[in-house]
Amino acid sequence: MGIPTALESVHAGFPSVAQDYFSGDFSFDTNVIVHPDTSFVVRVAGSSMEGAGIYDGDLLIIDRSLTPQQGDVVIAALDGDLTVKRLLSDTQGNPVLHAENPAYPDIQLYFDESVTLWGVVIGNYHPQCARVYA
Amino acid sequence: MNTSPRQIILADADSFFASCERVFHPQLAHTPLVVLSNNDGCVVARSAEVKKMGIPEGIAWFKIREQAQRDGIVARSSNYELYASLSSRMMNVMSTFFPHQTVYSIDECFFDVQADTVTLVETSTRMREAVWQGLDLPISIGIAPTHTLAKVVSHWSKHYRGVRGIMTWDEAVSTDSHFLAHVPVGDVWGVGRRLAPKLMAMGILTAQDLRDSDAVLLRKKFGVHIQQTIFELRGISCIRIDDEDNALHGRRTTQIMCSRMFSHPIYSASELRQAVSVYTQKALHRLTAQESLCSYVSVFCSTSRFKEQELASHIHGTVALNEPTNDPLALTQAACRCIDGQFTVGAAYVRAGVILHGLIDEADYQPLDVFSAHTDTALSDVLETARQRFGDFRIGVGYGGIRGQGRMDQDTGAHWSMKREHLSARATTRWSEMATVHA
Repeated sequence: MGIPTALESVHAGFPSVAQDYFSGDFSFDTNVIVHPDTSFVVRVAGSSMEGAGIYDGDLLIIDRSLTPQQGDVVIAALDGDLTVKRLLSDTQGNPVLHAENPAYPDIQLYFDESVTLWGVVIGNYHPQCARVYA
Repeated sequence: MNTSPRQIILADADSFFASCERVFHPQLAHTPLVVLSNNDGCVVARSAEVKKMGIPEGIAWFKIREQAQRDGIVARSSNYELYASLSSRMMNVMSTFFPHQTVYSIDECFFDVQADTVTLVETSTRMREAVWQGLDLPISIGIAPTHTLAKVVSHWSKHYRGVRGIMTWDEAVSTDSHFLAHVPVGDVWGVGRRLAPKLMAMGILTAQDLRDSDAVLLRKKFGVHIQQTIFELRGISCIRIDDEDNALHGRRTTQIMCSRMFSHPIYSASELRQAVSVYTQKALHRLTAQESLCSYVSVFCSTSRFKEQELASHIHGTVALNEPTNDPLALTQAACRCIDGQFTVGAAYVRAGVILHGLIDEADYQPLDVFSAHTDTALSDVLETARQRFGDFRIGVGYGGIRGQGRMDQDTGAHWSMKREHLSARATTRWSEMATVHA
């Protein structure tokens, strides 16, 4: 025998006074940065990721608490430098760091133990009006 | 009812300052690295590679500069802002794994827990991985029935067996039932440099000797702290970690921290400032006791990370002082400035801590006497007017108006006096110094 269920939940009791509570304007960074303790902001130098909408001078937000997955834009420590690329795999299924700009070659990770993944890029900020920051 | 025994977990970062220097500089991952004190005077932190080379902590930098060049040792000036920022993040990450966290210093904290060892090791492993993945900081963990034993096993696993990671008291004893006989008495937490030789003269050479000593006799001779240490070595927990009299046993340190959980959550900015002021003065008490002056103040405050449903807030800040000082007013003002404007309304703050760092010997400091202790407000008005017209660092009191070498502090110009030729970027606290990634 089926028991009829309500489609929406019903709120019981008195509404909490806390519901209307606010503490000033919302904060952009606390909404954008989900894990502040493990997130970092870095600046981009170079053009190899323009196909992903990441340009020279952009700000990147890195969340290191995330484990890199296929397709993520990642920061890799490559020859001692921090580099931003997209994590993909080649036809054999080996991981590669892919540049989103045909002028730059992909970087094979398979045999290269000097490459470590540093963090996952969760977003970038691309300024559109340079004069406001001048 | 939980019938598991009470256990103390000690988590501390390996070569913390050196590890912090590596976070944004992966090319330094396996490079021998030293961090220098104020004025680049002596070595205050060493990476594992440098420790292996036999370079002692505290050695004057000029004495090893040639060797450094020859052996490829990289030197960094103390980057207090970076260390305080990463420390605060690390403590926050760890606070989500166990309740009852006590931050004991910039790079170590204790947890007071009641759970079976298997669960503790499992959770500690996840905590260690979270800190490593999230912050690139390696930590070591010791689990034991008392704070002193947790220190012993953590220290032992790091320095003697070269095993990084987690070590429990049970494991240590089952490997070697005379485990404590291998630990020199001077390495026991709470046995300072002054006390160790006296104990050794009495034939007490190891932690085991100390554990089996006559506690009453030693208390009469050396005071109550040594008796507490003996009980702790016997597995009887009796040190209250938040009692600063117990914490350091008069040992001279390069950084002083006072950190507490509040007895009840704090919801107002003024109360939080009060707490910070009180902790600053507690820390100051230790600063004056060891006759040091402090160049930097860091403060952190946070809500409970263990209660996920509540509004979370973690604030921290570092202020560089105009000159090294032990002035209560200057330090308290600086501490409050660290958290100004960061308070979140509605958040329930449960702990705060104050770190005094960049410590120098009072005896070694020579201010420009002609200008010292001048607190004429009319003067500061004149200076402020001049500053507004001519810009920072053009005019100031004493050293404050002298342009120094190296990176200057944007707020205070305080680095004028400090030689900091090897300062890395303050990548998490200064917008203009954030790290660059190549695309």
